[in-house]
Amino acid sequence: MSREVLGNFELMVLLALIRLGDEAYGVPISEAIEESTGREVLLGSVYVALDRLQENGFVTSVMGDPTPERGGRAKRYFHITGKGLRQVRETKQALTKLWKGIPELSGGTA
Amino acid sequence: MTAIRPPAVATWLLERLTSGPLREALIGDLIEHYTRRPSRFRYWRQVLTAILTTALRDGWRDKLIIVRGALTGCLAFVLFKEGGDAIFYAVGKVVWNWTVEHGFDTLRVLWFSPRYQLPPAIVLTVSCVSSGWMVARVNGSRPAALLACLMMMFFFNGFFFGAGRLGQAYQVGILHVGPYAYLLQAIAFFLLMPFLVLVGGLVRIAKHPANSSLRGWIA
Repeated sequence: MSREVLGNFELMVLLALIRLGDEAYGVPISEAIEESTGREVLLGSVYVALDRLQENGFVTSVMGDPTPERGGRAKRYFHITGKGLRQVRETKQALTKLWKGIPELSGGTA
Repeated sequence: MTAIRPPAVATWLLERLTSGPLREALIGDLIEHYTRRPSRFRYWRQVLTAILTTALRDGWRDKLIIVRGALTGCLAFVLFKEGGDAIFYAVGKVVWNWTVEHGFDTLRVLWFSPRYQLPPAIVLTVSCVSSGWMVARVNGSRPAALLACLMMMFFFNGFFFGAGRLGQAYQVGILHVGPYAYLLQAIAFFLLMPFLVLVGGLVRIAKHPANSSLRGWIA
């Protein structure tokens, strides 16, 4: 397993990136996480997570075109890399292993 | 159709107190987020947390900036305060004689009364604003340095001076005999000093924004 460890929020960001595909930038990413968690997501936190993920080589980004509704500022689109995808799979495997055989977590009720 | 504009002050602060290559995208996203869900309270919360998280990230990445910010702030504060105190002390006798001679009692009371303490208030204000300005000047207008200085001001100066004034307030039994001068001074030390430091830093940053390339990002 690689040395970098994904935090809970970073994993959510990566999953939102995969789900959104080519339309993944700050606002849709935060909305996707909000929809799944039911809690407000702070864009500053999303960007700090994206920054760290990019630093570790899990995501790349490209600048889009500026739009008037953003005060003339360009979007930055994020894409998951092969390394990022591997990391998500490894995290899923690790979590699934931990998940298995815990009676309190089977059946879907707390 | 009228364009939905987010609170201007919040955006102004956001533009000046965030740094890094993702800054433009973050600001654009926050504005777009506001146009979709216009809530001033939510926008302010998003802006303040964005400023704080990016400053903490920069500080975490470059810990030297935190040390430099705190040291610069303290050093500048001490220098300006000691210098200002010395100047006011030196001209005190001249002011006293002049106000007595010309009958300017109000000025004399404002200057020398321990109740009002005008010269120390002026020195303190100038020292705080100047130290904030110096922090931004020395550290390339980076918000992380200013944040470190603010924290230092709040915890060190605020508690050091503010707690002293609270002690004095207790000693003179202020709650029974008034006035509330010491209590007000304590509040000023706790809250006003960090605010003045921020003002000084913002004055500098507004004219010379931070270098946005902390490290290379792939375009």
